[in-house]
Amino acid sequence: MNPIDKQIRSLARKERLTLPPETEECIRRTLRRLPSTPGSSDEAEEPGPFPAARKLSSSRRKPRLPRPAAAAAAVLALFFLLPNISASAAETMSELPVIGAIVEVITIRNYFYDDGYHRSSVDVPQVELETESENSSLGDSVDAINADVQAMTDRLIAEFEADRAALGDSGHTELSVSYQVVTNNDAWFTLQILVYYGSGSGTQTYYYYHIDKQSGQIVQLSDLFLEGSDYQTVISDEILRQMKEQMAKDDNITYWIDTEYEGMDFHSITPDQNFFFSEDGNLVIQFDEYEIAPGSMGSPQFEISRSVYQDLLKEGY
Amino acid sequence: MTYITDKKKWYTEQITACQASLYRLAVSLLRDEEDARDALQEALCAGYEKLGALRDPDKFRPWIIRILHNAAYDILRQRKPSVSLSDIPPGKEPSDTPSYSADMALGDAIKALPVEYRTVVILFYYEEMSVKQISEITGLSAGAVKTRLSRARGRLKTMLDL
Repeated sequence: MNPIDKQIRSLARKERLTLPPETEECIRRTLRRLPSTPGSSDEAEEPGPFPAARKLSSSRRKPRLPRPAAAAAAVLALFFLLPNISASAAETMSELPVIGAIVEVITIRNYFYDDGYHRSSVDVPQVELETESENSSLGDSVDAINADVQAMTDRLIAEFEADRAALGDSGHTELSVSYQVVTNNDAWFTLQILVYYGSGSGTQTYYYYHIDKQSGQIVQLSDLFLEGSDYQTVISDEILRQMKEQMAKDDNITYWIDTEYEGMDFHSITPDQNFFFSEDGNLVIQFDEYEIAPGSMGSPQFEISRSVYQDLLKEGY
Repeated sequence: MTYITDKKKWYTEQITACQASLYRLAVSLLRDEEDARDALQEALCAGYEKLGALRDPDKFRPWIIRILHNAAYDILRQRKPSVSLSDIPPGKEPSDTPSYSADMALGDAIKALPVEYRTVVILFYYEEMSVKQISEITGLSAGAVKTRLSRARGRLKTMLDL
């Protein structure tokens, strides 16, 4: 062997390489989020950091519309017929006697820690019913969300404490949990929880909880659409169209479509895909970091014009 | 933890065993921590997805390195040069090129090499792979690997003052 090669190899052996904590965290996270079976695209199998949150949204029964008491029937019928989330509906409903329970969100706990190396700021929200509701499923839904949020934040704090103890002053950890009430009108309630966890540049994950105030049920994306309707394809096609449009306009924009690694490409939204409604009443599909694009793209959102999926909606939505 | 099956566990162990090598290659090629993480993540997902295609478990390391190499090159290809090469005055390196001194560390010297030399250098010196193995990973002919190695060796010799 060339003597220079020998010298360089000996230098290479001596060079110690330490992974930056954020890279180590990224690897750990990526591995943890892999499905249990290679090639499986079953989202339900993805453990995620908080199985409780996912379990809630995937194991629920379909919402059932309650049978309203005769006295309230006329008013309720109006609610069902109006598009719940459009601005015009909100205006109209504000003139009607309030029959939907008022839902409020308060911070019940703030968990704050900062020692220069490890920092956490966790706001634990709690959903509360302001008024007595005849609709018992509404109370159940609120309780289920609160229990889920509690379990998730407890788990995160425990994870943070464990990482903090393990790393000491040899690394940095940051945990932040914040929430936002995205929608809260007579018909609909959406609570968004944003979790940021990691070191240096960590990863953010969104959680959404929706309550249909009329049925009192927690709702996931699939519940909005008629049984058997192909809403997944219709919405996914629109997302793909928007992705391609953005990528054609700007070279810095990258989504994972038609890549060399078929398994990573975005093909379709899932029945429990994160979503919320924009102020205009359009569906906004929310993805997490690294779900459909490189980390530099952040957490992409796609607003889907109502006209795209209107025909597939269940009556009342 | 019922969701961890043997395959996931095995994959996790394999990756953990070679994560430093993977990171070194990614960060040397991309010279950017965030891009390196993107490449790693892409490679980890793609590798797991394609795990069924890995016939010989003993070949895991070169196999995953090849996937990472492709992922890093995908990112390199997507980069839009902020300055056209013709705009750079002769003799002046682009600003993100590490300048070198006579006693610089090997890792920094490698990052200062032209990108097409970096993979062969890392695989040859750090991973101690043969020319044939490097050729299989990079898709270059054995002759091309040797040429690149020889040119890179000359530059490293100067940079490291060997």
